Amino acid sequence: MPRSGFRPSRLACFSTLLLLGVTEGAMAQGQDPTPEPTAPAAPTAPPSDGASEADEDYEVDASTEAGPVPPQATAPEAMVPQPAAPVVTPAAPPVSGAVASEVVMNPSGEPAVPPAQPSGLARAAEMSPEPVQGPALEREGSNYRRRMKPGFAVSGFIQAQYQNSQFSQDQLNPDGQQLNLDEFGVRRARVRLDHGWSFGFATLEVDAGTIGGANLRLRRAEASVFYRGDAGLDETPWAVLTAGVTDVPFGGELGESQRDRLFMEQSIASRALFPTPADVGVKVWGAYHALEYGLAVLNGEPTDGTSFPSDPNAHKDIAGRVGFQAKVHEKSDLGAGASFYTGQGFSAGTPGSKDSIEWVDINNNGVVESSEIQGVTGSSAIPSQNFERWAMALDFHARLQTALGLTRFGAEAYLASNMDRGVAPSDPVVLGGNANALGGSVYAVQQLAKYFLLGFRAAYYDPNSNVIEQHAGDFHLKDQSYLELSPTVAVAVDKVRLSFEYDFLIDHLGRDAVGVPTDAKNDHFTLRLQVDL
Amino acid sequence: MNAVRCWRFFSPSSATRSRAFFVSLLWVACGCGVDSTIGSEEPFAILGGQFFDGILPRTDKDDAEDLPVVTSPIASTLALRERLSGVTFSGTASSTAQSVAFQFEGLGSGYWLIPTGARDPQDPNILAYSFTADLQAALPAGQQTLLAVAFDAEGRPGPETKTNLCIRSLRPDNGNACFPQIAPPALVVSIEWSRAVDLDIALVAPDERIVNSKQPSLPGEDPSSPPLARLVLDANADCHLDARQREDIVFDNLPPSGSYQVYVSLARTCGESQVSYEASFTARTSEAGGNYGVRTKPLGGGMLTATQVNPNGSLGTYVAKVAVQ
Repeated sequence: MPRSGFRPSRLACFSTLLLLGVTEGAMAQGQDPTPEPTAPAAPTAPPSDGASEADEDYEVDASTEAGPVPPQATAPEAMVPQPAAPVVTPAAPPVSGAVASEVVMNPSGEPAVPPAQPSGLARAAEMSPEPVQGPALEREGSNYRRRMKPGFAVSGFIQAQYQNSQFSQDQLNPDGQQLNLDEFGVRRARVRLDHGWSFGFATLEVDAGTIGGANLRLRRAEASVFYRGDAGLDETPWAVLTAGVTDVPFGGELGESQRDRLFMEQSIASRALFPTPADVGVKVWGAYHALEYGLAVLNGEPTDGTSFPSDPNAHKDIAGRVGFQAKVHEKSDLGAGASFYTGQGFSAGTPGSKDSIEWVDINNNGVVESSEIQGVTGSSAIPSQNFERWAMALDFHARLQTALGLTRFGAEAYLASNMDRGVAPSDPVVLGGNANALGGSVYAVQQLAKYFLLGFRAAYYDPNSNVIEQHAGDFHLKDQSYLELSPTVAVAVDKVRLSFEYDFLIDHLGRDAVGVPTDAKNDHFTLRLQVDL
Repeated sequence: MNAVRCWRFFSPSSATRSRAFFVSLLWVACGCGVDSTIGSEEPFAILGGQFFDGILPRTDKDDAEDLPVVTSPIASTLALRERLSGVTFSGTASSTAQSVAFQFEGLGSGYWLIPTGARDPQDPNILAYSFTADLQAALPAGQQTLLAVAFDAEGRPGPETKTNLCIRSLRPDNGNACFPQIAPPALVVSIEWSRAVDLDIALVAPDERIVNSKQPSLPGEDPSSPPLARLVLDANADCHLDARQREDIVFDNLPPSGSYQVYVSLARTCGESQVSYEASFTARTSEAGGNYGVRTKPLGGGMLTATQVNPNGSLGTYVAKVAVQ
């Protein structure tokens, strides 16, 4: 199955998505809904291909958003068909909705309506379309919109789970790493502190977990100053300057709350580019009416399992996203964004060596014989090198009320070069050429009745479109792509959510009888219980 | 070969691009996909190879002219032994061969498959293949037969090629496992253990002289003659792990009669909390036709814990005695 060219069809698809995204954006200007979560929120983690998954999320806790000196969060009402959900359109029919999140979020227990009366676009952007009767889809919402209210708030959540993988084996690999992936574990256990003042805001969040070994790490340590402009207390300030361990402004999925996300982890392309959503640096971000933006200068080294690696090169990476959230209809809203990332990666060299003696047991008798000893002369060090890397993304999402409840769907597309840090780490110095990656995902989430959520996500990722393999005397482009299909179902009551996801991973890691790369059995499923603090 | 059948049925080449997505869904639904085992319980494992359960397919046709053929693989090392790692094999196959599969005859639960590679610069009708394999614990010492079969683009197997390989024993035997006409040592006293620790064997001769890692040989009365006994390898010495986890004291010739006491000593734990061990001795036997064999007899075993570390090189724990008559 020889392939030729640079997969023009895929690129054509990508450009089509780009055009669609632009078009949607243009059409949507002027209005904006979008649940304006309270503070930052957290997304979910990567699959269990093995090994550990370090991930982070954006999360803003309900309590965080809750105004000043929040006593304690009261989210429950959101989930239950409680009468007249506080806030918004009282006359609204008992449509199931997910957006009621913000309403419920108010830790003070008051009807979470924006105190200030931002008008027009601004208000639309911060409010949800309709009150809700079903389980909440968004308690925290996108991290690109975040209220920074005065006062102190404590929040957190725990995700305990059982995971199972077809790839699991009760063995160690040749490097001594365990291959068993069937286990109970704590994916995330987080505690977050937020404190806001008139022009300043501090966030400290730690995350503990057991996946891939016990770990405790800094998820967020943000020092922020902001200019609120005309934005109300329940709205995202016009401009915020944040320094410390913060979220990378790139794509829609990376900015999604890990607490809100129905799917267990980011899609495979997002995990590849950003194994964790946090990095160390400085960021300017904010929102003006429907417009939202973020621009960050970062070390460019995402967190690993337990800590932040030090930055191996002096060059700093730059990431940015600009987008909007608009209400296009009384019962629907949409948002979209475009992101970029540019920077330099580091290809480690090799230290120099001294002269040495090497023994090769040629006859395998375990006895050193003179003919089996040879001298190895020392070599000078191989220098390290930096390499260019970049990525761009378009994201789109929309929500609408239907007879079934709130429907949420979206899509995201990525184009990147030498940016893989999670699935098949890119190193063009080693590869001898750039690793051009293409990826994307589409998803839909549906509320059903009072307590159920259904979701489906299809994600695609090709870590390197330029790999060539010689097979049966001919050169072929080696297909390394992944297709991940993730049906998910959840039951949510109050602050408790029990969810199940089966990930069909169709890859090219195996070989068929004629040596052609084919799918290897490595599907996995996760059963997770999440409870918010 | 279920996976193969699945692959054929849903072959992308037979599906239009517009059907690709649905094909993928069907693929998922039917549970297709090949195993992703590392095959650590198999006789050998090929790095980057694909493992399939079952008997190695082969053709029984005598006139299989259109089917691919494969030559015997050649190992990069002069001698193979039990649990040897990183052995490179290479060979050639006919130009219609898309892949080559390997299995040790009568061993293991399946076979490994690799794609064929470059064309031979001297003869474009020949394709080269190579692979790196680890010989694992399930591959016993002795003469073993490696079967190889090539597959063409339709997945049809060609005739089987057999290669005899001598797998030498980890226990010192002078090659007797493969060549019975070679005499093994008269007596070998061994210990094997379960964890990656630095465990040492010690043997006290009737004259109270000791053979251990600090005194690895027992000289004879004539200093110019070979020693009566020698320690072959100080395994995992100072926790430089070699994955052998066995030590042997070899008597090339039958030693003087008397009682030889066997001790075991836990020199370093290397991070482990405990280790179990088994001691045995192997004696040379004579067989018909001028051949030699060996007879192995267990001496017992036990367990040592981290509290029993004995870094001073003393004898350690008594295990058993071997009486030589």
